[in-house]
Amino acid sequence: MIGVGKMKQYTNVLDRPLSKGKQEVSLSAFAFLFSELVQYNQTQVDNIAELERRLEDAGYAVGARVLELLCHREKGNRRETRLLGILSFVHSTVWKVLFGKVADSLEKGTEHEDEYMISEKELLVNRFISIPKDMGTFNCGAFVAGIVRGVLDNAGFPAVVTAHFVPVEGQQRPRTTILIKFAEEVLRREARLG
Amino acid sequence: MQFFGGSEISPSPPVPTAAGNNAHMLYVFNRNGVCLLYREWNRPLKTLSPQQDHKLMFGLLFSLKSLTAKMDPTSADKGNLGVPQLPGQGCSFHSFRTNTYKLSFMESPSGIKIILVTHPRTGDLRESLKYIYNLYVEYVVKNPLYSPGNPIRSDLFNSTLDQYVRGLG
Repeated sequence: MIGVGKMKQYTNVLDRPLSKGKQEVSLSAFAFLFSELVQYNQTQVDNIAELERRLEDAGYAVGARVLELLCHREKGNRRETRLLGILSFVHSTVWKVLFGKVADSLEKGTEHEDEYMISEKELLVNRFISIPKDMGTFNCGAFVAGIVRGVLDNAGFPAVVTAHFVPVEGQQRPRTTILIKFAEEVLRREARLG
Repeated sequence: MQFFGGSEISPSPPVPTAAGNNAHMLYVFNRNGVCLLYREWNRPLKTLSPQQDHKLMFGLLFSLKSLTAKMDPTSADKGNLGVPQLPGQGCSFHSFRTNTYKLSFMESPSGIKIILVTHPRTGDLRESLKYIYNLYVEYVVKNPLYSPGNPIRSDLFNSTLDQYVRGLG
């Protein structure tokens, strides 16, 4: 029989430790890959809303995996149960691992209890993209909104996440805000936990 | 995750030598002669319609490139006059100057031609043209909402370009 008598060369792949991987990626390579992702989706849809939804779904898949990876690597398999805990996890750890820096700011919405906002002067994915006027309010940051939704959803905090441009005085490019609106059950649970 | 290669636009922009708006016009053509971008900042005299103007400019540069390559005293292999040259083949001319303006030209290996018309006392603009080509790569080529071969309609590219040209000597 083939293989009998040979020494086992490698252990089960599941027993090998998770490698840290290369920590550096070429920005140009990422920009071209993201550009191709957007262009591919553009050929498949008829309108802007559908395109944003597709980008968000792509981000959702990334978010789900990032949550698993980071929980194992960074937090020693601890699970966030409080709202502020998961928000600061997204705002610092997730942003640091994905974009190399923490997000610019995390704010609580003033009008509604269930709204929180993460703002960024310029999202990495939007750095080379300039939206023509006829596309209206389309924002490629929908990809990042999808990542945040993936992380929150899989951590047990279902939410609706969207990306918006906020024009700022004195700055040519508008700021980008990721708006997180949590579901009812999250607030009720948070209130119960005190 | 750290991203490398994106912290500054390279090559870094040449130090501006004088303030003020010194450039007159800028053209960007692709290898098929389609005018991707035409910007003008200071052009008192217009004699032709835009299409004719673009065709004339492209034809002029095509002929000039062909002529300079054929008249090159250092190169052995010349080919026949009138045969189109591939980008990068033969010697490349980079500017001509009249008593009222100076025209600087740069062609990339992919056939993107950048033409900048400035006042006659401008120095060598090759570094600046390389920087403008880099801006084109960053803000136009990496933009998923731009399809190659069409005129450029990107606000980000236009505004960065204006800002840079305003600082040119």
